Amino acid sequence: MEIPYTIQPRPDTGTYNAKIGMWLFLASEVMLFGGLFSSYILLRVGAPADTWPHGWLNVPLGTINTALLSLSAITTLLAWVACKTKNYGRFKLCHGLTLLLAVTFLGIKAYEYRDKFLHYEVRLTDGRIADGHLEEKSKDFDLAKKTGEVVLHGRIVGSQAELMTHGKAADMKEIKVAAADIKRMQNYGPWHNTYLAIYFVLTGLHALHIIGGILIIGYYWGPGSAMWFTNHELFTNRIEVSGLFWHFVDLVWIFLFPVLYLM
Amino acid sequence: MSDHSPDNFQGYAKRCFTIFGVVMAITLMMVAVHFAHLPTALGIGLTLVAAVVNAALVAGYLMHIVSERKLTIIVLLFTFFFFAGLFVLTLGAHYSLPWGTSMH
Repeated sequence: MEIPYTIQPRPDTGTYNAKIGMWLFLASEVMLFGGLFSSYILLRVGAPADTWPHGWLNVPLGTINTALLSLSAITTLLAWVACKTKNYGRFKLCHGLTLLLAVTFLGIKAYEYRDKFLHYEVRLTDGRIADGHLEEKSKDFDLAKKTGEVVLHGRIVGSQAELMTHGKAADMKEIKVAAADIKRMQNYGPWHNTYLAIYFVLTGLHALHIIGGILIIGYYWGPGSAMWFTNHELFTNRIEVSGLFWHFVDLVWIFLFPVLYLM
Repeated sequence: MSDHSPDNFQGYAKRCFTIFGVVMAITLMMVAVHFAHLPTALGIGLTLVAAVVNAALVAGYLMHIVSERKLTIIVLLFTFFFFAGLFVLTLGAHYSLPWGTSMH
């Protein structure tokens, strides 16, 4: 049985089925991310003064990622235009670039995640807080037995409120802390505080969408491109629909970047 | 054939890269506002307006909403209504205080 309206527009909707299906899917995605964004706003406006972090994320890296994703939105659109103009070489080039930009975006995001997982807040027994990146753990380090020591590259502050702003690079130094002086030690994973929890949820869900997009675009760039020669119009429509999804992923990042990195 | 029709690769690519340039210029403006340490309300306001303009450019021109069918526009209007509702209800609940009380 042949599925109708995969190429020709349906008379009642005015467009082919996959496209209207994608718009409906994107509408549901808007609500998914909308729920998370409104959660973020509720958490932020409800946070007591001096308990919401500022400057914890790397703005230059976030800006580079914005450029990469915006550029990939252009290349995915040009891949569709290459389909319309029946230029296979251009299609391969544009979608190849889309994949390259998407993988680079994920690489930078992974680097940022790694940075957070290596960053520790160490509560000392004297009430102060050592905060910085873990450089080294001695072989005999055991927090439960209170043996060994850790080396951090960071700063020592007197209160939790001081941690909410990122310290100046000039203030960072090597800090050796003996296990016997540590009351509690935790890295900047999603469990650390509300801000990091919502940061990892929002960016993690976005990264899953990027991975999904890479799989779809990668398929049509690779083995799926055989359809170019067997059913060109259907192939063009699929590229258009996958492009709509990719633009949505870019759209989400356009809001994620200022909300998480700049505000 | 229009210079900006998808049937004209060069013309279409030119328009796309113009939009990319504008999106990046607005993004850099947002970053400049961040580092300028403006008053909080002004900084957040400017950044949000800039993000909405960027989103409108991507949705309007790269996703072709400006030339989409009526049905798609209706679907998106419904989505926007409920999306806005999420924020209005959430913030409304947060700022809804009993008479005679004030926010901390």
